[in-house]
Parts: sequence; C-alpha cells; structure tokens
Amino acid sequence: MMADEEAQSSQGPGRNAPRSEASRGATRPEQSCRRAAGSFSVTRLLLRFRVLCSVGAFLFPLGAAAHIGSPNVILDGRCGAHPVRVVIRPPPVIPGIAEINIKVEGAGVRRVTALPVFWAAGKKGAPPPDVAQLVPGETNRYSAELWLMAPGAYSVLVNVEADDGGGELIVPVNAVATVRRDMPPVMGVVLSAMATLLFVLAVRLTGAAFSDALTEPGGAPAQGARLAAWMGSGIAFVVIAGGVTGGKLWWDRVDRDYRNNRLYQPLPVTADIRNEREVDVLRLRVDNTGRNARFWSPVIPDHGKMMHLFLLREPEQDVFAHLHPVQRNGTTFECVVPPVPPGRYAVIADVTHESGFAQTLTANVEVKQTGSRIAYSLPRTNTGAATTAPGTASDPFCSTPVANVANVNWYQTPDPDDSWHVGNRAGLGQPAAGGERRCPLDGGFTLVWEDSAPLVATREVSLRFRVLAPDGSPAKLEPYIGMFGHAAVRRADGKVFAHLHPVGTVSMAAQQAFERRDQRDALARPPAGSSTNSATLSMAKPHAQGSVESVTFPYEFPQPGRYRIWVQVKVSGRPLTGLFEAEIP
Amino acid sequence: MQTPSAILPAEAAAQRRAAASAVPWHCVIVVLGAACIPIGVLWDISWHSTVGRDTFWTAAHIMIQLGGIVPGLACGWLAFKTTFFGTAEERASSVRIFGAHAPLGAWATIWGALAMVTSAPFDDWWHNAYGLDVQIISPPHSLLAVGMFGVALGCLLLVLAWQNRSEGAQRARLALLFTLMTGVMISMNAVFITEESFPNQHRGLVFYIAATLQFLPLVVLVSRASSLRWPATVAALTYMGILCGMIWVLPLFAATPKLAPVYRQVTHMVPPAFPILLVIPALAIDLVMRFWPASLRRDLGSSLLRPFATDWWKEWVLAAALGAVFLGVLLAVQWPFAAFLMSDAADNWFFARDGKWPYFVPQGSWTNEFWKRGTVPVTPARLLLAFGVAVLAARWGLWLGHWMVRVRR
Repeated sequence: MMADEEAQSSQGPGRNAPRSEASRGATRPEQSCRRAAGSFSVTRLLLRFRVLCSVGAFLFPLGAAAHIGSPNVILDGRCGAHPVRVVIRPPPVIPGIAEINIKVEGAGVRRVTALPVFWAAGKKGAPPPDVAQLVPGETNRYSAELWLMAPGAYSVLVNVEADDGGGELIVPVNAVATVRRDMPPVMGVVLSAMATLLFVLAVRLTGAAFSDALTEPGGAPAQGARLAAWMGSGIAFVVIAGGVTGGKLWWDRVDRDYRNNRLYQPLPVTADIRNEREVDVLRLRVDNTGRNARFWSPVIPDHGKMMHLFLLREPEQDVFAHLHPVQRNGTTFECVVPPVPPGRYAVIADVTHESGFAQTLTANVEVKQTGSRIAYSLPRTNTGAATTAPGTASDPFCSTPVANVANVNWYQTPDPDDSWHVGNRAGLGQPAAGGERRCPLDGGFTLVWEDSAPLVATREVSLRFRVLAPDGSPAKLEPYIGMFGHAAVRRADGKVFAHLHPVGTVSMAAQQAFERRDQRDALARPPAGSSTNSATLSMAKPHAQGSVESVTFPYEFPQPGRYRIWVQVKVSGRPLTGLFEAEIP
Repeated sequence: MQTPSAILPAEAAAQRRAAASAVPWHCVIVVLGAACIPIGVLWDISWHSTVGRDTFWTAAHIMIQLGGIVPGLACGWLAFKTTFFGTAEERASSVRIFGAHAPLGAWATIWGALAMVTSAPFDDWWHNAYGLDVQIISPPHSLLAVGMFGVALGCLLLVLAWQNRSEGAQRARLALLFTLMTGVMISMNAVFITEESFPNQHRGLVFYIAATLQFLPLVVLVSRASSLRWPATVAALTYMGILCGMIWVLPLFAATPKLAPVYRQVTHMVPPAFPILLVIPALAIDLVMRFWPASLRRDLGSSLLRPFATDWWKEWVLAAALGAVFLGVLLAVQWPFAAFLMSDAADNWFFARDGKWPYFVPQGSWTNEFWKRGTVPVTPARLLLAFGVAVLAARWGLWLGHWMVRVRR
C-alpha cells in the first residue's frame, strides 16, 4: 500500500524555483539562530541543569505552524526498496524533544537511524544520527527521540540500512513553540510553601549570625547582640524580599518574551474582496512587520502554486473552495473569487517558505453577491450548462474555470486548477453496508471511503478512498495538482485543520527545499568517507503520472471531536469533491 | 614492667589527646560533599561542551546534587542529634532556630540543600513551559545557584566555628579544612566568571574587574579568618588544583557531540580553560596580611558595628593596600601568561589551548588571539576604576573576615 502511495509522491515546479541572494538574506528565526550558533556564545558554557521534560496534562496547541492544531507530521515514503511511514510528534516548546516512530516494510533491515538537521546548519553541522530502537513486541516499528534545539525548519533524515542497501528519506518538521503552560496548582502551593520557609529561615539565620553565632558557647550574648540580630534580620528581609521581587519581575519578563516572541502565533492576515475589471478579487495581505518578520521569509511554490487557499463558509461548512492565489508582492496574494454563495467564509492558506518552514495563514472574509462574470461564463458541470444561479445553489456542483480568457479584460484570470464545491452532500458519506461510506459526486460518480482501522484521536490511520463510475465500475483517478488526491480535514469548531496529500501531512515544497540544500552542501563539501550522501536520498518523485484506482491519506486526528473531511480527486478530466463526516472519540 | 592498671590511664590519656586533636567527622563529610559542587558543575559544563544532550540523571548532575544532599543530610542529622540527643556542651555550641539546635553553618547548609531541592521541580516545570535550557541564567537555575552558595557557605561556617573554638593540633587541622573549603568556594566563583575568563580576554578590563570581585573578597577573608600561616595561598592552590585536575582527567574519556551544529569534531570530554595563576596574587595578599604594620591593624576583637570608632580608617588603608597589590600582581601575571596560553607552547594536554573549545565553537585563528570586539581596553584611567572596585572588594573581604573570626557556634 505504501509503495503505491510513494509512487504518488510528486514534486512541483518549485524544485527549480530561483533562489536569490537577496531572498536568502531575509530575516527569519532560523537565521538569528544560525548567527547565535555561529558566534561563540560562552553563555552556553555556563552551568546547565537540565531536567527532562515529562509532559503533564495534555494541553491543546494554540496553533501549529503547518496546519492548525495538528502539529504531528506523517509521511509515507521509501528508503531504497523499503516503504516507510514516519510519524513525528514535535515538542510543544522549543528546545524540546520530539518523538519519532518509523515503520519499515520489507525484510533485511539492519539499522534505522534518524537525524534532525537544522535548516541553517545543514548536514555538515549535524551530530551523528540517533539509532532508532525496535519497539518492544513489534517487528518493523522503530522509535527514537529527536532533540530540536532551535525554532525554525528542520529536516529529519530517516536512514534505513538493509541487506539490499536501504536508503534515506527527508521529513520536513517545523519546530516552534505552540503552547503556554500554567503551573499546576499543587506545584504552585508546594513551591510557595518552600519559598516561604526558605525566606523565613534565611531572615532568622541572618539575625542569628550577628548574635547567637558570635556568642561563646555557654556564654551570655554580648551587649547589643539583640540589636545586631534585629538589624541583621531587617537587612536580610529587605535584601531577600528585593531578590524575590526581582525574581518575579524577571519571571514575568521571560513569560512576556515567550508569549510575544517565541510562542508561535499565526501571522496576522487581512482578507478583502473587491470587484475589479469584471472579476471579484480576493486579496490576502500578511502583516510581516515588527515581531512578525521573524516568521516570514520568501515563499516558494508548492506543487507549482505559491499558495494553496481554502475558502470554507461558516458556520455551515457547506461551501468549499480550493484556490491558488498569485503573489502580487512579498506579502500580498490575490485570486479570483469563484461563484460561491454569499456568506461569511473562513480563509485558510498554506504557504511554504524557502527555508522549508511551512505555515498556515487564517483570516475571515465576507462574500457578497458575486460580481464576477466568470460565474456566468464558465461551465460548472460536465452535464450541461450552468444549472443553478450562484448564491442560490442547493444542488452541489464542482467546477473549474476552463473558459477561453484570451479576449477578456479581466483584472486577473482564475487559476486553471481552482475548484470549488457547494452544498452538503446527502447523507454526508454515512456508512453503508460493510462499513464503507459513500458520497455521491457530480456526474453520477461515487466516492467511497473504504473501511479503515478504528478512528481514534492521536492514532495514525490510513484514510483510503476510491471512486466508482456511474455504472459501478472502478474509476481511474488522474493527477490533480501533482497528486492523485487532496484532502482537507477540519474539526467542527475550526480549531483543527490539515491539508493532506497521499504522502502525508508534509509540504512537498519543504521536502524539496531541504533536498536542494543537501545537494548544495554535498557539492560544496563532498562527504569524505561518508556512506550516505545526497545521491542515496529518496528523491521526491515528479508530478504523479498515469492513473490509479484508489488514494490513501495517512493522518493522525489530534483531538477528539466531529470532523468534516473534503476529498478531492480528478476523474475524467475534472476535479470532484466529496465530503464525509466522522466522529473521533 | 608496667602493670595493666598503669597502662590504661596512659592509653586513655592518649586517646583523649587524639580525640581532642581530631577533626569532627561531619566537618570532613560536609567539605568533601561541598567539593562535589564545583567539580560536578565543571563536569557538567564539559558534558555540554562535548555531548550537548543530557538528562537529569547524568553523572555530572548526580554529583552536583550530591554536593547538596550529602552536606544537607549530614547537617540535618547534626541538628536532629543536637536537638534531641545533644549534650549540654553541644547545645551550648549551637544556634537555636524555631526550637531546634544546630551550629549556624549546619543551618545554612540545610537551607542551601532545601533551596537546591526546591529548584529541581521548579526547573522541571520551567523546561516544560519555556523549553530545555532556553536560558541558562533563569530563575530556577538562580535558585539552584543560591542553594549551592548556601551549602558552601554553611560548610565554611561549620568548619570555621570549630576552628575558632579549638586549640592546638585540632585548630591547625580545622584551619586547613577551612582553607580548603575556601578554595572550593573560589572554584565555584570561578565558574560564574567563565564568560570573562578566557585567556583571550586577559588584556581587557572586564576580566580584571570580574576576577577582583569574585576572588579578592574570598582571598582576603580566608587570609584573615584562617589560622594557617599562608591561608590565601593554600586556598588559591586548592582552586587551581581542582581546575587542573579537571583539565587533566576529563580528556581521558571519549565522547562525541549529539547536538547540532557541530563545528569541531570533538572526540573526548572537553576540559575547562587553564585557571588563572591566582596563587601568586594570593601569596602577595598573605604577605601583606602577615607583614602589615601593627600600628595600622584594627583590633579584631572589637564590635562589628562601630561606625564611629576612631580606628575605622585602618581597615580602609589595609583594603587599599590589598586591592592595589592584588590588582597589580594579577595584572603583572596574567598579562604575559595569557599570551603564553594562546601560544603553540600551550597546545598540549597540560594547558589545553585548543582542547578546551566546545563542539559548537567555530574554528579559526580567533581562538588564539586576544579578542578586541566587546573588550574594554586597559588604560590608566580605567585601572583607577578597577582599583576602586578592588578596594571595595578587599574591604568587604576584611569585614567578612572580621565577622568570621568572631563566629563561635
């Protein structure tokens, strides 16, 4: 199964995207870390007393860089001849320890290693990899810990050594702090009690140091000893109280710095729609000023698109659009609004930066009665002319703008890969006999969600889909934006969103960026005596080609709740969107 | 031939003499325990310079914790015994705190150990909340450092009180123990100025001010409070011995980095930098203290709180002399010695010129050059400022020494 999915992995045009020197010089968190590492900071020599994290109560992430509330990384790939599935659970704070689980198919596996490589340092600055240990009771699952010491983009190099040679796989991981923890009440009480005891004892001891301690054994306290004791205690009280106050102010400053500068928060984005030269244009503007600049650097194309944007009408979640804005300048993106009904929409946009750092931007926008002429000039179904007027559609349809736009005076033409879907499918893919769930698609097709392992929060699962033609025969799935399928997962409250591909949750552009980085490093500094180099890397495949009969999305639902899943496939030359709902316990 | 009845009283007398000259076991235990702190800290620094990745249960961390736990438990036992089973003499030699009896030093040690223990869960939560060692100088680490200082000070006072109460051979042994403990404290202080102490900075003012602030008070107080003939010299030798021991022992153990970025292919535990030659300025301090004119000496039996005493100025004159001597000798010694430490002659296991750099330090000739960037050059005017600091530091040391001479419990 994973072999099939690996065959579906793709690599967009971003692989050859130019990368200017100027863009390399852009400000971003990884660079500041590189500077810190590069210059000798003797403070790192000072004493460190590290206690391993033992994560207590599970805290819901405030946000994750790539996706929303879904920080775990899953990638199906291949190390040489061995299909592997890699699951990485990043730590909630950085520096921290990530957990990596690697499932390796095939016989003859001798050793599995994992190595986190910081974007700015590259492989040349990486320590020896960690050897993943076989999970007790398992035959092909390995686990290890990854130390992620700086905020930014990491590539985790998973290496499988096997009798047949094995290979290496790049897994992009974002390392950002996503939670702010409060001290547990019990611990607060205990620490406060200890602090009080230490305070009182210190004051009393200081007083004794100037009276009792200076008295000969058995002798009477010297004249003025009592005064000295009071003075000593008084001075100690003032000094220690000052120290405690200063410590509290210090703590507050650290916490403020953490919240304002180190805790990842989605960049502020404003979205608006205007009508310009016959089309409605959605504009996204990213605020990268001030502290936000650390989380913004030049964007690279992912599957040939600078941005993958989703429009979801709220609260019904009955309208879904997958759009691809163009970049007007460094922080402004624009796309043509498809003929979707009016309403309030959530805007969710995925971008990948040249450092391999991927993040999801969110905003809201109000769609009024559309003024785009494209709504009336484009075929919306393959069954005939436009069937319903926009804004009143209750009959679901999918469409792509395929009109000849050579002779129009539009401000902007739609992206040919834009697609959208309106309406709630009847039944929302309720389970049928045999556990399968079915969702009717346009044109008489049917999307089938095959029975999978029980869906449980924080457990990896393969979501497998296939399409049936109107006559019930299996339909061939064609590549759509470089993949055999796309999926979007969103919890009802909107606190979880993930854009999935058949290879997993990672940004393919990020994977390619790391790959290029390693190739550059290898050219600049050929590894002497190294058994692995970029030539042995499992290269991301070019765009998916040919056709398949099913598509699988590996995923791990991060939290219990009711989820809606949109699945996009391309059949007979046109993208179709099906949707399902699932209750995750 | 002596009869058994004649021998027994003689043996008993000898035993009494031996007991009278013996050093109390708990004094030895707490000093050895406290010595674990700087050794553990230096080991831990080496671990972070070599391996990078650690857990709470590394040997270095265990050693640091033992540095608090061993003296803490010993002093806790001492307090328990004195309070509930102590003789009248033992109780008379103790300080009463909240109804319990123990020497002042024991209380301070217990306080320090409690602070160290308290810092552990605080630090654990801190790492969970803000990341693993994001800040080395953090509130929980500061609490730990204060606890370590409390333990060391407590051990110092425990031995000191015994020294001040004892006589003869016992006093001499306790004086040696007290002086060695001061050397342990100097080692701890040296850790805190690691950032300013690399030989590359020995032509800058900051190093001399930092060294003066950290070392001069301890050197002066031990010179005043210890009964040894050359206490400051012995304490300085103790500090240098601990540092040199770490320099020569740590590289015997193989280890490799486990955190990125790796700029140096380290293969063995990284040693600390060679210590400053503190023994020479310390010897100068001892000489000044020994040969200071009697007419300029203040009566050490006088009260600590005599701001209007007629001889108050004598201490300031002495402090000025001590400050000038310490700073001048330190400057004269370290200025040329730093150049030697960065020369090829020092590129060996003994001086660890290149061996001391951690894996995350980029290679380059800058490691064997005097650093100009961020360094304040030494000028005559700035030396005046350093001299002022030295006078204050020496006066503080004299006051502490004056107080310590009077500690009896």
